[in-house]
Amino acid sequence: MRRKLLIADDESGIRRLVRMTLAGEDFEILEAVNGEEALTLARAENPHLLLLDVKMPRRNGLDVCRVLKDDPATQNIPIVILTAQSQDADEAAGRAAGADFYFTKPFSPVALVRKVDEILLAAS
Amino acid sequence: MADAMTHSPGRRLPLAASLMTISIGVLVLAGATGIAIADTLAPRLVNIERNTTIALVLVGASLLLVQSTHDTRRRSAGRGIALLVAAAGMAGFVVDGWLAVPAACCFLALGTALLAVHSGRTAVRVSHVLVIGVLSFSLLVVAGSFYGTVVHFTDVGVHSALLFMVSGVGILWIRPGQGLMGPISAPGVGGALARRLLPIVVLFPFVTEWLRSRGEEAGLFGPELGLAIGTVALVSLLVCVIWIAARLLARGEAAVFSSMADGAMSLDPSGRIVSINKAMEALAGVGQAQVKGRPYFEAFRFVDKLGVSISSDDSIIERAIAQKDVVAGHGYDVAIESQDGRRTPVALSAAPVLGLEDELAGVIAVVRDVSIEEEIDELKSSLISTVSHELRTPLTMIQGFSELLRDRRLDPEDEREAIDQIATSSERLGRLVNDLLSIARLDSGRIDLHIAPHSIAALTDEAVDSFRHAAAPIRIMDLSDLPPVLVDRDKLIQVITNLVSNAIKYSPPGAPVTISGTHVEDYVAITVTDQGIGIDENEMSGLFQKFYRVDRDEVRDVSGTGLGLYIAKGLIEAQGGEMWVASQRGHGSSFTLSIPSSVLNLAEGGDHEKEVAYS
Repeated sequence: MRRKLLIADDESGIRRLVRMTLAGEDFEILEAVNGEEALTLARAENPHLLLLDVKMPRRNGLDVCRVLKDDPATQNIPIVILTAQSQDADEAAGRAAGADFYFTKPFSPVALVRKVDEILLAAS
Repeated sequence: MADAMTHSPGRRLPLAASLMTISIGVLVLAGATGIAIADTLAPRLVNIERNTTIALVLVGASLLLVQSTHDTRRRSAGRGIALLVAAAGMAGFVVDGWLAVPAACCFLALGTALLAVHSGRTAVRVSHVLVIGVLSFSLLVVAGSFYGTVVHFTDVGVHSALLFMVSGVGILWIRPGQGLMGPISAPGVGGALARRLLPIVVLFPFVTEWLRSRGEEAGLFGPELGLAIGTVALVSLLVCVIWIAARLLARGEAAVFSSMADGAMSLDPSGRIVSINKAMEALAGVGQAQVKGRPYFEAFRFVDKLGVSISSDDSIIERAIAQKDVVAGHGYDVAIESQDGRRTPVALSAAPVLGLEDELAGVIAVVRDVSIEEEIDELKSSLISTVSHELRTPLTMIQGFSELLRDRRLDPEDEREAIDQIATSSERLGRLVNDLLSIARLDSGRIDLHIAPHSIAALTDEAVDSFRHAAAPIRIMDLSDLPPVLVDRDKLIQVITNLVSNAIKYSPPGAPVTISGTHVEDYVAITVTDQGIGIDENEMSGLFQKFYRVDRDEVRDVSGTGLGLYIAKGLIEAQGGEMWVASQRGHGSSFTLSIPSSVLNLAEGGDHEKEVAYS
């Protein structure tokens, strides 16, 4: 079964980068362009992993993360926060929201693939 | 220092003293040489030895020249004459009959004082000490004469003594802000006190003693009672002086305290409130009467960031009391909670007031409202966070796509896309850096503007030219009748380009953009109208703010930094114009800029010709 990965980012370039980076892996990649859409897709598709931007329209990533982690139906979805905000307080806020990992932009696609594999291996 | 002199009280005293000394001296000399009027005016009334008079005229001349604050040549000439005065004094010791020794001493002292008065701090002090010596000696002579006796051992006449005093006071006031004169000429309460009390203290004993002697002579009372009356008068004087001093000092303290823009409270050594100022009343939302006499930690509630009361043990005020030293907090973590629950972030500092024996007499605590500083700090953090976000996003794409190009074998289509993404992101970064620099210049008011008359039609054509390959048709209404505008050419082109670019970006493909112009009084208005998505009413307020982006699905993929309109408005305002928008969601937008027009005719030459040719 192909694993589902949801990338939620309002920047189309970032979504495209993630898609291209994981092209060689066996993933079905879903895309959300804002926080609301990320929540809907996460609930509907129950992805194996969620890559979540913080600063998004409609609903920010931290909020989405909190809601998903509070919901028994979605709390097991591993969440990697992908953010361009790198201050210590931002990272702490990400952890407090229940994120499993925090990735700061700019990131290396190779490191991202490695991290995704690592998280999925641990989850399985 | 020149300032202190210019604004200090009695700044004309040296000039008056020098002119008086010279005039009387010259009159005496003229009278002595047989000039009738001078003889009537001076020698019969003023009795001064010839040599003494010559030396006094020299003192006056030196004083007249050395008081100059700017002219160094005049000062040097004054010093030269001061040297002569000192030499005249020296001559009194060695040349028999030239001058009486006490007078010679006075001239030596005055000459030296005039020489030293513009030197270093110590020299000024020495100069003042010498002058005070001369003043004391002269006062003795004058006092003796006042009480009807001649102080024989001084060998100096009362008229000479009076002129010594006049020129001495003049020398003291050449540099009133320095040396021993500093406290007297100081602008504060201390100076006012000294200037008010000194004349009383000097004149009062003369008057009372004179009255006493007249009373005794008239047989009103005997010498014993006279002595008792004199003593009582002196005691009364001292009591009055102390009372006036205390009153003035208390008034000064109260004025400083109440005029402070920061909250302040005066506490006794046990931390009870003696008084608070108006700013403190406003911060705490209480009146002085409600808190007077109460411990400050009961009267006011200081809380930490979490809203928890700060115990008196941890308070800066307690530390200042315990250490008998100034203790200042850095702010941002303390707030004062007013009676109605309003919290104001404050920075606290406390200073002990020490008594004569260094015992704690009280504490002055200053409670400074740091709301604005805290707001600026938050704004700064938010700006750094936004800028960091805006920089990291294109950087992520540049790094990510270039790594993919380097490490992966991408198919040609992906390869092409990766290169495009890198190019687009690089442009975005470049734009962002330029915008940030423009903002820095605008915000600091250091923007370089080259204002000149220009044809608005020509500038608009030039701005629109960069969109000739755009899909949207751009219609320019006839702008040729508009008068020339007074603007920085490049900056206006930048603004029009920004407005047209926005109009195209936020409109459906192929929707027309119109540029029209009008002339109202001294202003020319240019309007860029589109048929795009329009602006919602709640989006209007943020439109011209930094990093503002409309948050809607239909503009999700529109690139931009959110700085363009902020910069455009700033540039127009910097050129004396205004910018505004009229819009309705779903019905397009009209951005208008209004700029001052020029009364100059464009055909007048220079730059203008170029513009005429262009239009």
